[in-house]
Amino acid sequence: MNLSVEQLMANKPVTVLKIQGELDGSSYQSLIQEAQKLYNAGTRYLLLDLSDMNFISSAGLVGLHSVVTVMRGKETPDMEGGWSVIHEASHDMSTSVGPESTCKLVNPQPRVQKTLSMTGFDQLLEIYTDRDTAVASF
Amino acid sequence: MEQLEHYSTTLELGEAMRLFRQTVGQHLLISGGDPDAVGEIIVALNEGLVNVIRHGYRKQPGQVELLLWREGHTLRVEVCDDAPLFDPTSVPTPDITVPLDLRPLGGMGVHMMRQFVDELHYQVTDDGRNQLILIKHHTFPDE
Repeated sequence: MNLSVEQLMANKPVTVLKIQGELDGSSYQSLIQEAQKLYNAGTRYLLLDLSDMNFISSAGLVGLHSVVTVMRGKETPDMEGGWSVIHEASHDMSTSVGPESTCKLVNPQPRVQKTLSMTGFDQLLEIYTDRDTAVASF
Repeated sequence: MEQLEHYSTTLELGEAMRLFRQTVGQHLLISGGDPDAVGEIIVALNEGLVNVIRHGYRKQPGQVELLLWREGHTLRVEVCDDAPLFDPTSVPTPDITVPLDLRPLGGMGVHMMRQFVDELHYQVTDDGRNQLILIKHHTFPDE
């Protein structure tokens, strides 16, 4: 998995983090660490560009949810937390007003989109098909 | 039923798992598998293998035997391991309409397996090993 970062200014300063390759048990920690680094550097609005991410496992889902936790200003989740991480993040989201506003997704490939849908993640995170629209939505 | 491949390997989490699933995926594509179907079976297989190593072998490297079979358009994948006996198909299906924080722990990997294959079975082999069987129809467009 490779990560690349782009800073954009729309209605708000948005950081686009592009994930290339496979998000799985061997890579999800790198994603969380990058999100933590960005948060520490001031990022408050994060768009995850999934257009070049061709695989996601259940560990990758934990990674996505952990990024949400990080963007909410929580401590970096326990890497072995598994579902407890998801519980934490989802509890945060379920107690907030409206959909998750600090982290959104754009352009998941069909199989990744299917995974997000079948696991309910598409109800927790806004998913866009157009990057400009996604950036402007923050 | 035609046997496509037989792997017997010591598997562990991380990069080794990634490389192994890529190897299997490439083999299925070379064997004429539809790319979308192969992609989905690899997602399911990955969850099964991760469960074996993570829970069965308690995150330690462990022996796994993998057999790929083709019968017409259908792919049959058999995963055997020597970990303590456990039926992953007994894991309840999560209700994704329930808020995540109200769901029981675990089960998403098995849920993904169920969603990406047409049939998921578990049995104990005659020699007392776990055997997980994943079946996906329409994997091979042409016989």
